[in-house]
Amino acid sequence: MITEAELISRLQQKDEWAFQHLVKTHKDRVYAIVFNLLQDEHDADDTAQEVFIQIYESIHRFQQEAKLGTWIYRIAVRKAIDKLRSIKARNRLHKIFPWWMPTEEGSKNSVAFHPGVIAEQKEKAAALLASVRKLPVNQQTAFTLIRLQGMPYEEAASLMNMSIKAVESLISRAKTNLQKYLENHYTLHK
Amino acid sequence: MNRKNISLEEHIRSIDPSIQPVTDDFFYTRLKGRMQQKHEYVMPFFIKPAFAISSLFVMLLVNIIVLNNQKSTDTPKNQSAIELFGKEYDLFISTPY
Repeated sequence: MITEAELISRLQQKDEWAFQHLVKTHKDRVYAIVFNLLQDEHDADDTAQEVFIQIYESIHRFQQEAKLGTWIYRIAVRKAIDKLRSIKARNRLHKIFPWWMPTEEGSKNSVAFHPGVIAEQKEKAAALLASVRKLPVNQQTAFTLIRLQGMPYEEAASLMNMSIKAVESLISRAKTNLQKYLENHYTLHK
Repeated sequence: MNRKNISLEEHIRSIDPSIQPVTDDFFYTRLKGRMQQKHEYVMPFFIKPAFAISSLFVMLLVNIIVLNNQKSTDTPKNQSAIELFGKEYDLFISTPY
């Protein structure tokens, strides 16, 4: 069994075994974080790879103030947020110039890929995920990490570099917005 | 569904947070492949878009400057050349017929 300090030291020396060990240990959690936020398996796979590439390249800057896991998941959240912002910007541009920018909005079928969706409640899950996508990025991140991924408030706040109070406020605003979006969703799909 | 019956909590319960998506077994292989590709291929500076576009602009600018200079010096030069040509062949001598 290797200690965290030993693993970090070997990673800083670009040790192949240490990197493989790190990926093996954290890949599923990193993937779950980015998948829940991006709701697309290809984007999630791509972003999860980018997370590990960044870890490999910047491990020498890691100062052991936080746990290695926290540092990794913080990078995952940041990368997923960056990707989310670029997707949202792309979709906004698509609304203005539909002939210029292809959109990914219509092709999303996250319900089909999310293993946590309860079989008899696919319709509700689809409505919820579609509404979550409409939330502002910060609210979407807080809501996804806490309510869809079951993360404790303290951990989500630490990954988002925010206070617990700020995250609580984001969740409360997200809930108000979601209620509104869901009502609109069912009015449109009557 | 009736607007009043919509319960957010009920919708949230349609996804079980204890079951999370996972990657496949080939994730590390794909990751290594991508890292190797990234480190092997370094684009030569002269085919980088920034270099290509800026050199195109420089060439365009040089062309415009040369063309402008030519235009401004063109008229007197041409005139003196015509005069020289005319003098050489006595073309300016009017011949009464």
